[in-house]
Amino acid sequence: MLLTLTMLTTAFAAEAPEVGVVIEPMVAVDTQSSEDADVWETWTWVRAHAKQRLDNSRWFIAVNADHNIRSGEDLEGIWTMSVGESGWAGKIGPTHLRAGVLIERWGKLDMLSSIDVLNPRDFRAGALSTIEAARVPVPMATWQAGSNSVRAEISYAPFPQGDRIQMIGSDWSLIKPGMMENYVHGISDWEGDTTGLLSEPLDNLSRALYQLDPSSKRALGSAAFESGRPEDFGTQGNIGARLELEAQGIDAAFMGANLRSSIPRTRLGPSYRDILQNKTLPGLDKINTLSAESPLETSWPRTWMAGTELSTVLGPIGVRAEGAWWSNTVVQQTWLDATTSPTIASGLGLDYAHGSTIFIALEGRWSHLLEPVQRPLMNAEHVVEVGTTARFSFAGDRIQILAAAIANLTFEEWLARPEIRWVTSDSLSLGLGAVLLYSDTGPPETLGEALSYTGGPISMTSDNDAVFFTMRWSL
Amino acid sequence: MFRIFLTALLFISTAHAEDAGDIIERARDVQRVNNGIQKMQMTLISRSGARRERSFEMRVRKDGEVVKTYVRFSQPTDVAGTQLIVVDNPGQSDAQLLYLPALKRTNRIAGKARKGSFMGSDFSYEDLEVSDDQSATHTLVSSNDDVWVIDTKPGDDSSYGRIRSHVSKSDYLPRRVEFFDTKDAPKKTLEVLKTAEDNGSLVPTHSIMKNISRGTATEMTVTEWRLNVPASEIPDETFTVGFLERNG
Repeated sequence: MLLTLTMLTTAFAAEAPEVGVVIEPMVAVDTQSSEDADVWETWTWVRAHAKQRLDNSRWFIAVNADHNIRSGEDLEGIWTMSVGESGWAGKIGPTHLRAGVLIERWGKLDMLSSIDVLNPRDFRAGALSTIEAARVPVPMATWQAGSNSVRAEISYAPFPQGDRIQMIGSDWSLIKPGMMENYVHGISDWEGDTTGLLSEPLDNLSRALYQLDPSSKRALGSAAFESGRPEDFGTQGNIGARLELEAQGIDAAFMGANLRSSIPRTRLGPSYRDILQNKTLPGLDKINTLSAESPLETSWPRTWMAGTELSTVLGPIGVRAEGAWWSNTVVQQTWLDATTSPTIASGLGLDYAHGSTIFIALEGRWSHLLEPVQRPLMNAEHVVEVGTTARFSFAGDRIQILAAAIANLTFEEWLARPEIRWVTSDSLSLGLGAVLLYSDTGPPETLGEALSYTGGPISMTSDNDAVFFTMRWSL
Repeated sequence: MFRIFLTALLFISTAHAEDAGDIIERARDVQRVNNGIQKMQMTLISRSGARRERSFEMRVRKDGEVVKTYVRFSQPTDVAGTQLIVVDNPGQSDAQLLYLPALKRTNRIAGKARKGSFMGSDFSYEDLEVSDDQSATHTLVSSNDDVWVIDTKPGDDSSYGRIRSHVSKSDYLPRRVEFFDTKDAPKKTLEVLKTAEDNGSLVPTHSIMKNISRGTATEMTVTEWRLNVPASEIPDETFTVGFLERNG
């Protein structure tokens, strides 16, 4: 017993805590700003962390904050603060436990992963987002047992969150700035038996919408799309199991999970859809039906998921692969509807590196809806995407050229984000870059076009080309 | 090929040999790494003299002929949490794993990646390997009272065409190593500036690698070390993908 205790206390000598802060401000100027769109926006991401390794364990705590200013028709400032990865990890007997607010990474692909499902994503900054800001940590416990070559792991996230998506009022939203107000403003001119009766209140509604401050508009959007979420009793969480194999030169994993969808399944009331779609106000006889109908219903269906991942090295090339099946994926449809479908997806990644000076990765993903979906929004029966990231460093990593690009072959659209970065010191780097978007299908200009859009997710925001200046200050 | 900064144990020896292969073998023997834990500081010096610091901990475990090295960076904030595993397995291709905290994923490092710069320094991943290159040939170029000068022609897999080592006769420590490219142009030089003795073992505590063509340099300082630690302090699981990702 004494020997065991001695070994435990000397295995990892306690070290001083590592403490750090990273502040990353960015200013982006829209180069093809359209009416009502934001002319410029800023994002500032702040991550403060402390961690300490102890004997056979470690604790870690982090706080994330972001601030977004958007200047267009409105000048908006939005501040969000949340707990970053925080918790405790250590050995309990022959097993390992991690508990707290965690990011649990599944999958081998970085840009086009299909199976990185345990943490929601933050899409609010669109193509301006950073890698670190894209994953949202959630309360979770992960328990792992096994040997060096075979490990089993169970993860439970009792309070799943949805993806952070701003549905209304941002250039990266489905409903962009001005769309809602312009739509409502035109309603008083629509035909229908009740035009005379409703024109005045609708005009008032339109004026009220125009006068709403930006934060109220965002709150309205959030309330509409995030309602219907199950209460957080901890019993309807996400649970995942994973078997990891690590042999000579290969690591692979098989996983299964039962998850709550990270986006809601919405259903617009049929009468409301008729009105929006046909731009015709209801007759007096239908007013009662309309008032009895829920305008927008949301639910958060659960899905089973099974997947596999693998990585190895073939000659000078790193090879990574993923494959997955879902029983019940939410598929968005036009006019604010959504349905579910079983889905499969697979992805392949190849990378080449030369020390820390050159890194080039290519990734591809094919996803397939196994059941036919009518009127899919920014989705299709088969979707094929390819992506690339590259980093070239010069002058001892002081000058870096970074590039990322994704092409959606199904919707014939692409996005590229080149950047040149000057690392002035260990604590400061400055970057200048651009977001370039291309699509044959132009972006929607009205609410009706947005809700019935036939292009892909890149096309939807293809008027957001921007140049940006960014800093990364770490202490 | 031998890599001075990686070595924790340099046993002082009074034995002498005159055959180049034997000398290199002996130098390799005295540098062979037993289990050890070191805290190190790497200073990247630009052509203009600007300095950047990297702090990391290195754990080395030897299982027979297999040498496993684990590196974890703690400073600066931008690279803190980056972890690297190098497994030198004679007769097999070496395995290298790199964990990047921003991606929260472990990369397997392949082939030519090892010839590139290690974390922006003048050391390459290849310089981290300690395994014997069986296809290397050694030639004794000269000898005086203090040093042997030996040319090593590494195997085809190396980015170096020739390596010239100045091996001290007193302790078999290569005090200066010159690296030449495949066109035999000088590429880098490694010098041991300071050593410390610890229970009969010699630890190179301060070394510098100079990149001749770029005009840059990287200093490597061992700030703390513990030699001959029991294997149980560096368990085998330290060198697995699971360990990297649990500690990310």
